[in-house]
Amino acid sequence: MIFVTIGTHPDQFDRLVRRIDAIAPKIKEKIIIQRGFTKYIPKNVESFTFADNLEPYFKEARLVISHSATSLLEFVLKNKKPIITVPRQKKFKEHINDHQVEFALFLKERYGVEAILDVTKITPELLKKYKHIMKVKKDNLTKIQSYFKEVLNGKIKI
Amino acid sequence: MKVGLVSSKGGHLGQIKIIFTKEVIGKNEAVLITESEKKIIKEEKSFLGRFRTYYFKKDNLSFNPIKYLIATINLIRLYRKEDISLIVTNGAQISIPALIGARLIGIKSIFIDTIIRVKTPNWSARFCYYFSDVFIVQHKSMMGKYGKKAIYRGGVL
Repeated sequence: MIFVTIGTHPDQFDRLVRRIDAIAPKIKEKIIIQRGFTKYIPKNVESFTFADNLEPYFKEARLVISHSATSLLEFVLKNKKPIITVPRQKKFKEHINDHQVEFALFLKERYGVEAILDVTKITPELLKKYKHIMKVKKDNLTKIQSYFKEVLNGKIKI
Repeated sequence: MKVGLVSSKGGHLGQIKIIFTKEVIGKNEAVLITESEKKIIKEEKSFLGRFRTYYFKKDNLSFNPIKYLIATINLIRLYRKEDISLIVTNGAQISIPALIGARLIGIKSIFIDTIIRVKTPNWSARFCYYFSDVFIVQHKSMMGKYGKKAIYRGGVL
């Protein structure tokens, strides 16, 4: 199953949902879209607006396509599955700024996670062959945790 | 030391939970303060199986000065009741009353900018810059974007 999720941000993300719906007939796998506040309702695939818990979808998925939000972190840490991120962009009125683009490019550069800025680059071939699993590097996390350990233990005075 | 971790729900809270593991807190104590749409006020032993979580109603923190003022007062009461000696907050908007409240009663504070900000600053963090004692960014590329005080000490990714 391919799970597409665009989160709970109040702006639409029609661009991604329409693209997935358009290429769906050429994809053999089942696709489920969490479409949030998107106005367009997909015709070729199953979709829903919101769910209290997306974990079952992440678990079942072979591949996840997601907007480039920080909620991805929890997914990435829990589930060892391929992920493609599609950042919401200000120019398409999908967000109030372009921070998702920055974050998507950061994940691409540091972790090799596919970041799609132009949705026409999402093709049945890409989805079929994409298998890259992001492995979280611990160096930065260890560093910030060490800092807070020292703060809490009074070794660093605030 | 008893640390108050203040964070909006979602990705912000996720980052706090990644950093503040049992090992990081060690022999210290913690209280988690976050938001919920449900009518819960507090939950015992819900954070790391040991610490209390307090919930604020999410709509209490929309762009409204009066709501910010009420939130600040409520947070100050909570800090006193729990005898918190350090506030760590990472946004989003809940950080503003959290830091103002801490400053008003002389509690030290640390703000952590969100990992999603790689190149451009955001307005709530800019505001928090002035009210926090320590201001941490999670990308080297963010150093200097807010001001001289900003420091980089790693990050969740």
